[in-house]
Amino acid sequence: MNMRYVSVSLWVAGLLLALLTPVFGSPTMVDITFRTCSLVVLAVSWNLMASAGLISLGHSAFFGLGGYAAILATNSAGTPFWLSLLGSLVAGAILGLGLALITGKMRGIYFAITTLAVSEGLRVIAVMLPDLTGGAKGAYLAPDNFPGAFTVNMAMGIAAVGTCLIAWAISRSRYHFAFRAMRANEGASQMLGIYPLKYRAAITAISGSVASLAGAVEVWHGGYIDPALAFDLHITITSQIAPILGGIYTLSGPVLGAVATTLIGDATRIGLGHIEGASLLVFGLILVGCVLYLPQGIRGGIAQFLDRRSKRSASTPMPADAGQR
Amino acid sequence: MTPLLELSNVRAGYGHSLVLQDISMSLHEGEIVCLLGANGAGKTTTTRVISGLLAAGSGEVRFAGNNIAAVPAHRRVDLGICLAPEGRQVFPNFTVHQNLLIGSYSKTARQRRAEKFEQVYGLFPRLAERRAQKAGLMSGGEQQMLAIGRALMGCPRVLILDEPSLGLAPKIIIDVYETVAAIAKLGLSILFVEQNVQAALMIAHRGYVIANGRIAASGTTAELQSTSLVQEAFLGTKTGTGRAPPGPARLSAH
Repeated sequence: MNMRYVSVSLWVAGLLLALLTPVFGSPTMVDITFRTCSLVVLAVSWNLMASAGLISLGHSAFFGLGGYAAILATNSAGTPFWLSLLGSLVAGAILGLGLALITGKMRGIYFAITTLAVSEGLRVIAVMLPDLTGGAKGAYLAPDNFPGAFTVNMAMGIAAVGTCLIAWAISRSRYHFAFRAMRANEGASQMLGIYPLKYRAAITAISGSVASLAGAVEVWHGGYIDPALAFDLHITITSQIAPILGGIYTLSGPVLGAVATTLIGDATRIGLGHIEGASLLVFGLILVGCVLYLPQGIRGGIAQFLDRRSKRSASTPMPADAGQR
Repeated sequence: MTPLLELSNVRAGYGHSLVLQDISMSLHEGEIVCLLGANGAGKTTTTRVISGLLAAGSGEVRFAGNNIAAVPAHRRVDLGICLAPEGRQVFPNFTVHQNLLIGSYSKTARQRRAEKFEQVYGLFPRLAERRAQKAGLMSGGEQQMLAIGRALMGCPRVLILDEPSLGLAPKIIIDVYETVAAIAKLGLSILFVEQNVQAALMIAHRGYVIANGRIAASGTTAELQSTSLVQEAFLGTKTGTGRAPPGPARLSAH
């Protein structure tokens, strides 16, 4: 049993869970899967930017913008469900492009701070424009166009699968190299004929559009949005905890991390919810433990485990799986 | 014959500090030219202006007769201006092979990738042996070879080497320069920056001496070796006042 088999079977299991749970699952399972898929989209999206050396501290900006784009389009113009999702994708892509253009050559902490500011700025704008957004009171989705819970759940599953497919396609293309080179040394990559701004704009647009999609589907799911909910710091945090926990810069890491984050969060909440604060404390401790003992995330831990097992069973040592897939 | 690369009256700098006051120089097809100068003279800044990482404030940079002032850095690679930067700057987490692969990222280079791989691995057998190794785990000399190899993958017409001897043991410096001489035999034009005067004059046809952002001296290798200009530029002293004449052996300052 090597990494390849494990990896393929996990991907297939994930695909089936995402797409079949809305059809066959119990309400609890459907709910957990919906939230996991939402986090998968955000985590993979965050990881796409991180892979190009762009650490985002404002993924809630995309999430919230997507939510508002969907709800405003539907409430004001009666835009149907699927079309409103498309609108959110476009809105997220435009914000992503804008972010790349504003930040220009900013890197590291400067880029991160800017994303945080964008997210906060959008939140303030949403509060300040009550005529458009409903202000701090928030806005309710007009129920006329509601396509039914099943469709919404399915849409999140499709979004998660689609986001992973995009990340996979990028990892197979030569752009993957350009992003890695930019992450390592943007100046050196420019000397080799890579135009950093072009790749930055592309990755922030892709990453932003899928994160917006997650926000849009969430709004259709919950039926309500307000600035604090849409541009919640919690969203920003979980969208980076998941990839870091699962394995940053890898394809499967963010997905594994999203599943683990959701499950650990639910388990502590349900198991320890009756003691005030205990669930968060335990959740935090588990995260710290994971970071300490699994420095390469869950994905790295699995790879190491399989590697050690195959070394023990086989007389000839097998080469370590060095590929970051 | 128009030179392949020509700088005329280039001024450039960072913010308010003007590093290059007035640089004019040229490089002809097939030539090896070295840029000499002390720390802070403006050598690296000159390579940055040529490769487009820094815009010239005034003056002209012409490549094959065309002014390339408006051409951004990543397009200059397509034109055939490839730089092995100061301090090597290989990607430490990439394997040797991946470093070379990304060296041929530009459109023109991509089409000739197989041929270039053969050439680079032929020139640097050491890189071929270590193709699967992470670049960050190699010695300084090997990383320098990789940086040169990576620049070669971009199909240069002009290869710019910024202090290839930096931080290397004397024996390795000779290895590096022997390889540079071998690359020159392929018919490339090479411009390289050096502080190590002896190493530079070993293989160059012509040289320029930069001091305080200006060309202080220029000429063929033999001319530079026989004058005191190099030493003046390096040490900032006026020689020729009756003291011992500077011979090549004394030029190995720094």
